[in-house]
Amino acid sequence: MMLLMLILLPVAGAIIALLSQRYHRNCPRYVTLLTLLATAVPVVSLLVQRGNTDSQWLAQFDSAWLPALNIRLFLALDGLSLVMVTLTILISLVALASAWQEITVRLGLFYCNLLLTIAGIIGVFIALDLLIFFVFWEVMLVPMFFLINIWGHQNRHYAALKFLIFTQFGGLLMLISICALALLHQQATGQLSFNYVQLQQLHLSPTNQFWLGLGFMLAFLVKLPAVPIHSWLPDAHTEAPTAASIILAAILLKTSGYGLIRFVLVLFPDFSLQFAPLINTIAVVGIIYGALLAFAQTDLKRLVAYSSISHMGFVLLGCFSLSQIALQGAIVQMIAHGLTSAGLFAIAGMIQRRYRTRDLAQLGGLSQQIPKLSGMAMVLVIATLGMPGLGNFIGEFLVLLGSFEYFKFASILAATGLVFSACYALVIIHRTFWGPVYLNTQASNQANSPTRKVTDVNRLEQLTLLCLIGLLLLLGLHPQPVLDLIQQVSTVTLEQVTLIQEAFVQTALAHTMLARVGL
Amino acid sequence: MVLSMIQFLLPLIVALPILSAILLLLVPLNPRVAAVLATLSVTGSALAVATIQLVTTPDFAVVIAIPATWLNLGQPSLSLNFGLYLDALSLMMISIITGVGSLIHLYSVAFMAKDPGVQRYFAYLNLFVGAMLLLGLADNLLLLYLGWEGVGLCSYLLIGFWSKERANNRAANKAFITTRIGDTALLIGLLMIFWQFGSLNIAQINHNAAAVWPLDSANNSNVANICTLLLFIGAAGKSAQLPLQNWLPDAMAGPTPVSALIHAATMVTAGIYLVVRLFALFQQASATLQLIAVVGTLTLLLGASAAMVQNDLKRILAYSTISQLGYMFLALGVGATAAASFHLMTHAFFKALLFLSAGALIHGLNHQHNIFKMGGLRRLMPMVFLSFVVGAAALSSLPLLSGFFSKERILNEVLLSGHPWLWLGAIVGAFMTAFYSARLILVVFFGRLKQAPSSQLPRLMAAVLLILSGLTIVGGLMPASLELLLLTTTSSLPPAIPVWAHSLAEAIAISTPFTAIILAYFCFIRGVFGTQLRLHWQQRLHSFLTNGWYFDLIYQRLIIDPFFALTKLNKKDLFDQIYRTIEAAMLTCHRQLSRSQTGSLRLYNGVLILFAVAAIGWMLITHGPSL
Repeated sequence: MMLLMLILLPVAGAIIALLSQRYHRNCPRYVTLLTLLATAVPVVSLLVQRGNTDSQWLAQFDSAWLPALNIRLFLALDGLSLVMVTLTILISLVALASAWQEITVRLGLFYCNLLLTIAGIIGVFIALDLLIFFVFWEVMLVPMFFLINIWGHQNRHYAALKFLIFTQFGGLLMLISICALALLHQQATGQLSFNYVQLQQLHLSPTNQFWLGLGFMLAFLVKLPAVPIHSWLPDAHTEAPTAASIILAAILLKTSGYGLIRFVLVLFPDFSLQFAPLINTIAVVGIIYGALLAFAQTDLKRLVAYSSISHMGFVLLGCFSLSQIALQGAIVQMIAHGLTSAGLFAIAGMIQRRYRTRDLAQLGGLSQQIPKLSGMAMVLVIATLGMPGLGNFIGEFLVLLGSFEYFKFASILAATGLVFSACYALVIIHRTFWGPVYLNTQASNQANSPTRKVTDVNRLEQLTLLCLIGLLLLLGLHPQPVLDLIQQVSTVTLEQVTLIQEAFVQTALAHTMLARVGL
Repeated sequence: MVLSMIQFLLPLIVALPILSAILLLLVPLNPRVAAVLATLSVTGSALAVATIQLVTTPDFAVVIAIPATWLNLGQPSLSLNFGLYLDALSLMMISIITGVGSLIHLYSVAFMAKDPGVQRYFAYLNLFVGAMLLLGLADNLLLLYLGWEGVGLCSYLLIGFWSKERANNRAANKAFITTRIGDTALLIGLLMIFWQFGSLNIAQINHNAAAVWPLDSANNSNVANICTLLLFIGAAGKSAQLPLQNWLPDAMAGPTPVSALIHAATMVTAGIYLVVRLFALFQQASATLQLIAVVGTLTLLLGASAAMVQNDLKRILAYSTISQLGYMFLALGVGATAAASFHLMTHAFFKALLFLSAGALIHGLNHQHNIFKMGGLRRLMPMVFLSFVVGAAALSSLPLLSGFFSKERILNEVLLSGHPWLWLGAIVGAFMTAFYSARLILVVFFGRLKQAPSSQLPRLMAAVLLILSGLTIVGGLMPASLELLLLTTTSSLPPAIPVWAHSLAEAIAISTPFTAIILAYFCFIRGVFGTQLRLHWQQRLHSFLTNGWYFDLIYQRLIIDPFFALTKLNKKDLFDQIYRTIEAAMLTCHRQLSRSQTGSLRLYNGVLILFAVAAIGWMLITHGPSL
């Protein structure tokens, strides 16, 4: 029941937010705030009482939905989902804080869409009936499309459409795979099933695994995004309003990492094992290619968007390194990237509101004008470049350490990505916060008074940024609670893969032994 | 009792500067209060270290304090603590850090008094001291890496401290990126170590080194060589060794006390500390050790030769630092860890002294950096003159000063280890060192007065200079506990050369600096060789040395320019262009097809008729006979 609340609350909140606009202009904001806080209650209670059960699932909800097709409303939550849902709520609050001042038109509709997106994302994280999962997967896209399309910047229509087409394309392939899985289950047991737990028992031939796994894989790779199919992301992130950028980068992308761990690795172990080298190559290319592109950008939001591609490459590498350390690293990296990217997009929004530009060529010397904002921004930038003591480093280090066991070359190349990430991170500091003050900012032009003073952070902004920084520090210096939460998931996830791998190694060993004997 | 006291003090030593830094970063304070708070926190650490020095005997072994765990993964086991590991080596290191650190904080109080960013300055400086202490005390390599990156970050922030100037920003970026390249190599080295040893605990790794990498097995020694090479690249980045040395001269853009603390006394010696800390690993990798010795020698020659022709006071000292660090790596390469650590210590004293004296000079002369615009200052600034002479004399290893003992020891060990060529290189380096030190003193303090100092030396700064001068003079005593610790790691080789040659070599080593000083006297006071470079090759050589052997230029052409060009070329993202082309093609098709929708009946009719004719014709041709 608690799990159902997690989804129903934001949906209800969305409707109320839309309607409440009639009574007062500011109502939707407070409705959203209350909804998010109310949603946080069950999450916090779950966080507090975790560890009481021995089973993998900390909470479950199961009820019939379409009995004819055996589709059930099966929601369940384990350590991984719990971590992701917690992150979702946190980031939603950050997004709300940034929208509070930025969004001034059609408030009701905006917050309605925002809450619907969040409901969709939470649904993705806890739905374990594959068809329901797919429904949520699509549900989170549509309101996001509207968020970009209505409240975005200049080129918003193009970006929104691009975002929708790319992700729909991936989703379609996944739908085919889901249906095929259910039918295969019917073939094997005589009953149609979309249930994740039941489908785990299904033994698939390697050919089936390949085609079905490919469908899932592509859907997740588009969303991740992995390199040749990443190009929706920079446009969507750049054109979206700040709050939507935050949701997109910090949690929407994480649904793909979650999907890889929850579905691809568990349902298609043969596929994962076989294609791990290829996928890791894609990951490494993404890490370096994204960083190089980020380095070349002159738009602050676009720079951060490309850096996301680089960071999510670490997540992909961590998932397919077939090592528990790397898998846990991937999850930590998802959280850390969620926090840093949310922070950086929030800062880009704050800068844009003050200077009416995100163009790095027109910024400069901000640390002299708005020292507090610059100081906090610099901490986030430094977290991005993987400074030990902050969250991203733990993620990246664990991924590298784990992947080094089987994929040395990929691990070493990914490590060189750290040099490139330093390059683009320093570009942000160099061109935005340091240097002489750029006088010709449009802020002064538009206000018709060249001496109009730019104000430093207000209380809400300061609170948001300080919370993010505090969480990053906590994750960097005391990641143990998170690691404990995801320990079991990483074991369970890699069980199948490790079994197959061991068998493979055994046979390989046997072959070499035989070859040595001379047979 | 003593043990538990040390275990209590160790976390405190690290925590004091860090807490003070956090406070300074978060709470706006009165500048004077901020300065006092920062200085007190580091002095507190220094007192704690002094207490430890007092209560420990030279033969104490190891104290470990684990105030908190960091992360702990069950399977496969990876367990890391915020463990602090104190032995003679780390004790020496933290003594230098807190000792020199608190002196430099004290000096900064006067030096930075009029700067508007004084609170930020002290916050960074405190953070640096905290990170450096963590680096020195870490009991596992990841914690060491945390300190390692932390000091790099503080170095970056302090080089770019006066962030309005683009030149400072660029110097900071250069320093950070260059050291980051080394740091990444170090990180890959850590991954390899974990793969080989299954642990990142330093004591455990050192203990198992000989068992995991036996010297006689070719396969293992390859892995050992690669792994230690990666660690060395990390060390080279931090300690400004070839080929990652070129960031250090530019790093002088920061405030002078920063140069003294970070870019002379402590951070740049982290590389040497790392190698000594993990020397058990390096002992199993003979090829890497050879390489370290050669790189050290080349770097000391590069640094010393470039220092001979610089005009900027701080750049002379920066190149000199590179060169002295080269000596330490040379010593490490031949296995003389004790000599290297000893030189690390004496160098920290005399180079900090030189930098702080330079700071006093620059402070008094309205930010004048060019030594040829100074002159005859010995009477007007006697205190600075005195401390400069003491520092320079120790740097040129004149007998009885601290630098003498450590450098002679390095030269001696190099000779005994049977590397006559490297020894010769070191002697040539020593000659150049004495030459540029003498040049510095003679040009700045003798001759005609060119610019009179505009302000008096603040008393606080004078006091710090006095203390450091004292340390430079009497610091030539090797800590006995360090000797005991490192004795086990250095193998005592039989002298490879006859006794007479050994004595001759020592005589040469001692007389070299004097020859150089005499030469410098004739050059710069008597002007025997004139003041112009007339010949073409002389000018070429001069420019080659001034530019630090053209490394900057080579990197600019070979790496930086292509990197910028490549990223700029792909700014619009090749893959995105592909999708946009597809989109454009679709749109074109769409437009062309829509153009046919004219609404004109005549056209539709015509097309219909044409199509019907074509269809019937096609049917007749293909199915003609059957119809």
